[in-house]
Amino acid sequence: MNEVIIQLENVYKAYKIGNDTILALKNINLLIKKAEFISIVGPSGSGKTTLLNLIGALDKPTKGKILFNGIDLTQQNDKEISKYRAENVGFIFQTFNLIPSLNVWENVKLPTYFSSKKGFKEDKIMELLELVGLKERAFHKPLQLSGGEQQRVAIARALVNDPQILIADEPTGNLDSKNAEIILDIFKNLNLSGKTIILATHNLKLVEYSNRIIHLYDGVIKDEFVR
Amino acid sequence: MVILAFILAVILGSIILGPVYGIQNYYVKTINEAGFNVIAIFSGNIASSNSYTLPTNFINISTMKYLENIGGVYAISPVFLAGYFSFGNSSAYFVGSNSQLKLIGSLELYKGSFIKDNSTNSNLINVDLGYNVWNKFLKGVDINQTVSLSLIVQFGFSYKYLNVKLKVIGLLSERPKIPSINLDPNNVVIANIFDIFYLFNITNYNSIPLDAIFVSASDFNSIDNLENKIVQVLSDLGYKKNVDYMIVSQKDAIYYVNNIFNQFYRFLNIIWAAILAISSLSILIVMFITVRERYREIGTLRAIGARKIDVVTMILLEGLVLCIIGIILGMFLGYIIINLLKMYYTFMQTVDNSTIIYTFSIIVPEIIASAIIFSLYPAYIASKVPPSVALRYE
Repeated sequence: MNEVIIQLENVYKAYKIGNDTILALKNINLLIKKAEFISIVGPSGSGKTTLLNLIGALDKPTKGKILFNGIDLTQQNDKEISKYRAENVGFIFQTFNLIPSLNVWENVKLPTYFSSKKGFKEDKIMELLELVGLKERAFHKPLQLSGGEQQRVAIARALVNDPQILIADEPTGNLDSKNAEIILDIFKNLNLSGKTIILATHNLKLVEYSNRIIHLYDGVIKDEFVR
Repeated sequence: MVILAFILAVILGSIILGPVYGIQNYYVKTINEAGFNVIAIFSGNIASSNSYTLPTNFINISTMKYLENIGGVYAISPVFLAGYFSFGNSSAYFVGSNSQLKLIGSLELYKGSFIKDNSTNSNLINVDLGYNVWNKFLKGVDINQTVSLSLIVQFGFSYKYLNVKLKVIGLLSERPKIPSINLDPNNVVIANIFDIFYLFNITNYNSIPLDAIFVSASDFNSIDNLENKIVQVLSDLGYKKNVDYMIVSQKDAIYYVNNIFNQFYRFLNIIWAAILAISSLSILIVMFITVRERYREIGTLRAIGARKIDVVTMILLEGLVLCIIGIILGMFLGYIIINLLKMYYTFMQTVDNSTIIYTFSIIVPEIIASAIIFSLYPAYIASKVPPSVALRYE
């Protein structure tokens, strides 16, 4: 439980917009331990998504180090970074980001094409769809599903390569309270099974359940609460 | 849109290049079929710069024996144009020759026997009839039948009519017409040259110029060598090339045809390059738009572990699949359009299936190459976009 899985050291992220440089993150230092459930909260534009993108290696910091199990992700090449994303991180987006031309089953299977992990069995896809309660909708297209169902498919997709970390950016932002509740239950169970969950959210129920809350404000960690 | 660009490229390419390949193939094939390693020595009226002039030194039958003894001669035949027969709007040339013409001209008999070498003293002249003569102009005529025809002979600016009785001893199968040469081998009536001389009451053969002598070399590659020997022999006999005679070989004809078509190809290749450039540009633009519209999808793929090379491969494969669909549809439509055009344009009839396949074999790889090249840049650009940016793209 105390094993550090992600470490951010003096991380800065700047964006150039025209002639202006905007510092989205300033001197972020953060340790994330295995099986933690972390909620990142803060107002819009505070740097939540940027922080999640850096942890998930979707972006590179302007300065500083991001270590995964002691390996500096900022020094990795495209192949190594892609392998990290495919095998160690599962992403869940506010807008679900399913591939509309593929059915539910194919969407869930998609990350396995990019993983070099051995021993994948296609039965796992149905197991995951059962876990998120969508076994019956396996061969439906995303557009035939409700928002809550689509988000559950996205969770199944994020889990298919059995990653250590789940990164979710406003996972309930587009959902009603009932569907948000279902997603929260799934996250609770996943966390209990040992997954590290890092999410940016405004949903108080998700925040309440977290064992650590990081409050970002204007690109800096303003407060941190540990339960 | 991309498929449409490929379809149009294939159709335009096949319609522009196909007929030209077809016509060239037809010309070369016809020249090859017209004879076997042939060298033609034209005597009689020789073309000078602007007009026809009569040579002072005629090539006649006595010249033949000098040429017969040159090494490498496979067959040699005199050709004497005696006049022509009129059949309504069509006409058939009355040609005096010998049986060697069959070997030289690869003339195939449908029935009967080729003209005999020995002259006859009868009023009947043995003849072989060209395909159109027996099959169209004198429909129903057969071997051993006698026909009476009016032979039109030109004397200067006036015409003389001679009634001749012909005995049909051979019927020639259909022959391809050599383009740009007026003498259609289907519209000939071939008789023994000595029978014709007899008909014209010519006793001193050396006083009559031959219209041509056809010589056949033992093989295609020795044509040039034999031609040089013929020129040497004729020179020794006092004949001046291009004054008393002209010499043309089958090789010259093929070279001439290929030369003209090669120039034409250079011009057509510019047009084809323009078509390819326009289709490539539309592929580039459409692929850019398609890729831009799918940034979020590409970002998602990158987020779940796709490498840059996976994104490039995916977009290239998509471009290639669209290209192949377009090519298949374009080939299908191109084939139909060419066959429709064949119904309305005679020159298109030279475009046979093998020419269409040959044309496709030239243009399809070029289109595939352009599809790959012009999909590569949008694919590269897509792979370079950071996933975090692609995921935010609206």
